[in-house]
Amino acid sequence: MTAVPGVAGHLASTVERCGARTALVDGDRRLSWDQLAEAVERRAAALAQRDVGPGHALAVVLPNDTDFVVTFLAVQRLGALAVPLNPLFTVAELGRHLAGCHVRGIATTAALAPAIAEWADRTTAGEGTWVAPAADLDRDAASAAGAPAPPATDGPALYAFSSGSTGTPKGMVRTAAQLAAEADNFYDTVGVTEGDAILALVALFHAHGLGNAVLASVRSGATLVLQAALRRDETLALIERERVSIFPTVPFAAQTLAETRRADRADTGSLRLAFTAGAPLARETFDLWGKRFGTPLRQLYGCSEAGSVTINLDDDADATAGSVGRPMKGIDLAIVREDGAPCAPGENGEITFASPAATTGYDGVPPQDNARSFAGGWFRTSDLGHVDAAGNLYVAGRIKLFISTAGYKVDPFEVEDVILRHPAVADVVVVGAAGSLGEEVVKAVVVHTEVTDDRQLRHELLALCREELAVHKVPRIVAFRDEIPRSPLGKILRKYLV
Amino acid sequence: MDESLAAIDAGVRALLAERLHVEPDDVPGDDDASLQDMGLDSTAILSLVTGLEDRYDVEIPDRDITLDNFGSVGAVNRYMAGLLP
Repeated sequence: MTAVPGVAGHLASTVERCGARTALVDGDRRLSWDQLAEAVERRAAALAQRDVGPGHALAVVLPNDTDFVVTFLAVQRLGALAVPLNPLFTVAELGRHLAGCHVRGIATTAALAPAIAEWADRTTAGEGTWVAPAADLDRDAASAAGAPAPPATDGPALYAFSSGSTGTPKGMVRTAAQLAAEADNFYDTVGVTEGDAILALVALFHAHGLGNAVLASVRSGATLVLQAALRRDETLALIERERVSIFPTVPFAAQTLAETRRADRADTGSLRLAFTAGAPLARETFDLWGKRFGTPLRQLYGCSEAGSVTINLDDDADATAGSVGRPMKGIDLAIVREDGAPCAPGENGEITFASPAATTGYDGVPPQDNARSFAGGWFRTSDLGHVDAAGNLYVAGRIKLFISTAGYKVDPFEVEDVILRHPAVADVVVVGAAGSLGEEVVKAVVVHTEVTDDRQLRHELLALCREELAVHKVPRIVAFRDEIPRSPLGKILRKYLV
Repeated sequence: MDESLAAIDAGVRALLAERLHVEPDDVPGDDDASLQDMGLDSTAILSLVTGLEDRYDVEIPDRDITLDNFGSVGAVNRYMAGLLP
């Protein structure tokens, strides 16, 4: 067998090693690795007939289901480029993300397909793009034709997005070798085996779910247990029935499960590693989780640019509860001052790291921006943090202004752009207001052009946001001010608005 | 509105303020006003549910978390009144 690079190579060797073991559980559906490999071959053949080949992009707009996994792996098998996107996005948001990608096709759900097809028909970005329910792809393919041989060299494998500071999401390419390196780093650091079961409740279109559930499973042979949305009784039953041992999650879901008293009646003793990412973990959630499930809740730090970077596996989980841990194998971490000089232990600075899994640059940004962000193979995250004497990383906040809400990152500028379209709005600033558990809620501070009925205007603004934005970006709080506080240099004083 | 329903109504409104940062002013007096229109998504509703479980020492099964039961303040009041002894 010739060596296949990337995730496709991981899949081939796992299938060889674990063929009859369970690869995937999705409701009542169970697939062995042999069956998953067959489904991936069928899907790859169907996609090849729809003109998806090496270097071509396919948008994958699907929830956490079998079709997501099969389609993503089929794209890897073909040496093509997957563009996973949030199925909760409005069509307008999908359009903004797809504008620079030149996708050949969009694989989605039967429910979403008509609206997306309508978008593709009427926009230049969608010109020549086919749209189909993923579940129909195999059936529509001409029979018997196999997929072409996978490419033997490294190439683009994933197109991911990081919220930019301009209101436009920044896209980036990660290669097959980078994704394989991410899976290797996690596998080597955490020690995942084919005896593990990973609960994939966190969104698979996002780096957290893609890396720490899908890639980790394909690399190790661990069973991937899919759940599309948090439903507590179902989640607890899945953990018990499937003997879930690894649970990548977000603070909100962890808090909700830990608050659920009837969880005491479920047998969750199989859980050996639960970890959150995407937002700071409140001490209260850590404590409640430990009491409820008897195993410490850990933190992981990662980003779209490189997947997972650090994870807390410290022997003293309690003393290090606030830390996202130490770098995964294969990754070097450095905290630097503004001039690039290294910080002393305990001193906050910008978190930077070098990882074989990291992208080498953003798509469509000026070269000097990439030169700054990726100089010398070190990615500057724009996150603030420090390491303690033992090398544990603590994230202190962001240099960027993203709002972290229920596991999502919201770009305030994107929300401001929408609110500004209302004729009665003279000025607006969107900020993350502190929630009771350290999470953030989206808050819009609005200056209106004339005296209006605030309640009526609030209603109209929320309606406008809901039309244009995914529901997690819609402000929870709309407050009115006579003016936006600014510094003498014109910089918005956000701290007075939260 | 009888005594107990009024108490539940006050409790639900307090939880909306505490856990979901919906300012009391923003909770419409109208019982049938939609929680979705107040910007509450499914994760927010789930947070309200765990808050209700904690406050009233009850269990709310997943299957009960529907628009019928959690679509508006009035619906939540009626659902909770049915759940409480």
